[in-house]
Amino acid sequence: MKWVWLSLKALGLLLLVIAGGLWLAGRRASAGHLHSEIEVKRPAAEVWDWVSEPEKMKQWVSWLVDVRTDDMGHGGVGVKRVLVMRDENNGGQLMEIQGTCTEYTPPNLLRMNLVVPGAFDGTQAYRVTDLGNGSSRLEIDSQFHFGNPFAKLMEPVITPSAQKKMRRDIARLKQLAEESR
Amino acid sequence: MIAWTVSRWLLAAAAGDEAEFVVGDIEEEWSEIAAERGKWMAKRWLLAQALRSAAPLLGARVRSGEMTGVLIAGVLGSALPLWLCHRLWQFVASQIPFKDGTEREAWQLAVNLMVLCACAALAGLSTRTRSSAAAVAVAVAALASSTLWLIGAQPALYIFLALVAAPATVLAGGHWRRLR
Amino acid sequence: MPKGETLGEFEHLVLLAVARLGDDAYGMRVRREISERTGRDAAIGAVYATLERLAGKGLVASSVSEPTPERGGRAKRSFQLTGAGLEALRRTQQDLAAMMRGLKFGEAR
Repeated sequence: MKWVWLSLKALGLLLLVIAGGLWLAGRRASAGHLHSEIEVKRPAAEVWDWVSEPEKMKQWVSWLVDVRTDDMGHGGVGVKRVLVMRDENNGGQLMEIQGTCTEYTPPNLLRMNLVVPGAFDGTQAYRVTDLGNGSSRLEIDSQFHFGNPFAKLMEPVITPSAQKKMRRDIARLKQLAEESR
Repeated sequence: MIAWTVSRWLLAAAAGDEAEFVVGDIEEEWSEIAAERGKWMAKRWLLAQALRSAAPLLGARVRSGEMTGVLIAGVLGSALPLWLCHRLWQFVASQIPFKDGTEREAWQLAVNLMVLCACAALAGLSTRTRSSAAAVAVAVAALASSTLWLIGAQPALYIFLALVAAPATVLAGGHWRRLR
Repeated sequence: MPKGETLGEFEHLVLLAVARLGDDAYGMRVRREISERTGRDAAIGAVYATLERLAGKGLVASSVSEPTPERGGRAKRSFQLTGAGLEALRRTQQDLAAMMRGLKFGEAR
């Protein structure tokens, strides 16, 4: 049993070191920051539709099942939008992200504040830049802060996974935009 | 050779601390039967004895409470760490603002395997004899496969590595303890 | 053995074999003794499980001998009848004799 106790103590120490490392990594300047950009062979106005229209968003943002908006078909600063996500890692439960538009400059800039009370809050900006020759660059820039203390600790693990997911989504947007007429 | 090995392992796994005496009796009687009736009959007798003896010996181990210890070691050595890792990655993925699917990254599966092997080694360290290490290894393999099936683990390579590494680490832990 | 607790059928056979074998009562010899006298081919596991149960009831005691080459260098656990075991055998014998008294076993119907 002596060796079992020694090993358990060593494991406990290792867990403490890992937790300490995660806490330190969580204090980096880029914590909670996501950025992706991609070139799409479509004009800026067409790419703008893919990031602003609810029905088009549901096609490229995976796990987005519904978008409810009160903009009556017109966007603008102050317009509220609810993004309904399905959480496959939580028994398929639906989670609603409350969004409020803070900047709206079609077809170039859409910025929103996003919040799920108790879970996270942050901002997400979609920037579309016309490159000429019928192509444009789409940049998505986000900054999130987690409310749950354990989520805060695990942020150095969560953010890279979120980054990978964002890259997959943006690649899907490119494919859909370029294939559409 | 195979009949002999299988029978010995079956008896040793079932009998726990009594394994030395049971296997010794079997060997002594096997020599006598081989001399009286030939090796082929002795092999048949050996297999029959091993198969018929497993249930009563296991029953005796259950009644003595030894199997409880084996089950607990199995749970702590495989089922619990696998389940906790699964819940951890579920939590991480559910914290992603725009969510994600249930597929795990390669590095996450590697962490699962390391945690599994560490816990299985601890379970092996808690055993005193070769036969109890074997029993715990069997329990770890069985519980690991049940847990992996319940959580819908994939891919197949990960499952294969987990089911091989976990009992092997139990045996290694037990062996290291006996060497000390 | 507490009053009212009886030996099971196989427990009785194993205890009798231990009584017969004296100092030479260990798993294999008990199994063979039962097999030769009753024609019953018991599994070694059943014999050991029963011996453990009898030891738990205090009817037999055990001792471990040195390893021998015939056993692949393994030790042997021998069993001896205790006073309580002897008393259990006497009581069982009396009970059986009492139940058998006056019975005649004729032709099966």
